[in-house]
Amino acid sequence: MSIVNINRLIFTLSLIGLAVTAFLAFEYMQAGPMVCPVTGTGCELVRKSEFSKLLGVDLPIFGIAFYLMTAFVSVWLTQNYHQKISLLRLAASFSAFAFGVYLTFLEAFVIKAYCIWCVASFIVSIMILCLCVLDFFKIKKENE
Amino acid sequence: MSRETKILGAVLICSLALIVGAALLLGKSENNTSGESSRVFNIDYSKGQKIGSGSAKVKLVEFSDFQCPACKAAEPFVKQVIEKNKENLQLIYRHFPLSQHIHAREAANFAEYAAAEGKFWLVHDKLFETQQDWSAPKNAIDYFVNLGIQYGLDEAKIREAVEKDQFAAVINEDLAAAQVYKVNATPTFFLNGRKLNLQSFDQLQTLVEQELK
Repeated sequence: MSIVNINRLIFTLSLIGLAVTAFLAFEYMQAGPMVCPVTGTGCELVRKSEFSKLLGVDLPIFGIAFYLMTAFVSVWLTQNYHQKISLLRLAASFSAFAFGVYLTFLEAFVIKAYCIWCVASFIVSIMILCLCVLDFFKIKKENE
Repeated sequence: MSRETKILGAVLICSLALIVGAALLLGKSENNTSGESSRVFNIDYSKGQKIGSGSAKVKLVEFSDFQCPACKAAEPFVKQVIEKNKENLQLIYRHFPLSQHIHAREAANFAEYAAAEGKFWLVHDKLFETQQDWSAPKNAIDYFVNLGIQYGLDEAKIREAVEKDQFAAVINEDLAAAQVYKVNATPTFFLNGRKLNLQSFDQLQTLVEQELK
C-alpha cells in the first residue's frame, strides 16, 4: 500500500472515530437520569461510572481531540510526507491505544460492562495505530 | 496547496460542520421536552399494582424492572412523590422485566404472587432494597423464598410462581402495553397518560405539582 493510500485510510478512520466520539460526547452531555435501555445497559453503566471523566472532562472529549488531531495531521501530511510529523501522529496514536487498553480493562474488570461505542472507538484507534506504524516506516524508508 | 490537501481539507471541514449541525439539531429537539411529551396515551388504569385512590386527580404509571439499577435509584423519588401527594395521586406499578436482567422476570413473578397475598408493596420495597444481593447469584429463587418466608408467604407457592412463570399472563400483558406506549427503557413514567422525559428523578414532584394546578 502506498503512503498516499495509508494516509487516506488514516484520515477516513479518523473521521469515523470523530463521529463515534462526537456522538458519545453528545450522549454524555445529556443530563437525563440513569435508565436501563431495552437493548443493553453497558453505555449507561460506563457513563455513570467514576471513570467516565478525567480531570473533570468527559472522556469522549479526549477522543474528539485525538481524532481531530489525526485527521488534521493527515491533511497536513499531504503537503509533505515529513517523517517528524508522521512520528508525532504515531506517538499520539500509541498514547490513544494505551489509554484505550486501560479503559477496556476498566470496562471488563471494574465496571463489568461494555459500552459498544467506546469499544468501537478503541477498535478504530487500534487500526489507526497499525496504519501509523506502517506509514512511519514507509516514510522513513523513502527518506533513506 | 496540492489537490489532495484541498480535498481532504474540504472533507474534514464538511464533516465537522455536519457533526456540529447534528449536535445543535439534536440538542434543540432534546431541549424542547419540558419533562412531559405532548402525546397522551390512553392507558388502561385497571391494570397494575396500585397505591392511592382510584379517583385521584393524578395517575402516575411506572414501568419498572426489579433488577434494574436505575429503577432502584428512582425509588426514593417515587416514594417522596407518593408521600407528598397522598390525597391526589395514584401510583400504578407495571412490569417491564428487561431480558438482560436474568432474574427480573422471576422477581416479577414473585412480586405478583405476593400481590395475590396482599403483600405486593412489602415485597416490592424489599426487592429493590436487596437488589444487589439477588441479582448476581445464578439462583435467585432461594433468596426469594427466604425473603417471602419473612413476610409469611408460602415457600412452595413462591417456588411454583417463580419456576413455572405462573404470572406470565400479567407480566406479558404489561410488556405488550409497554410496547404500545413506546417504552424503551426502565423506569419509564406516565403522568396522566403523558410519557415523562425526565432530566432527573427529582423532577417528578415538580411535574406532579404542575399537573395538580
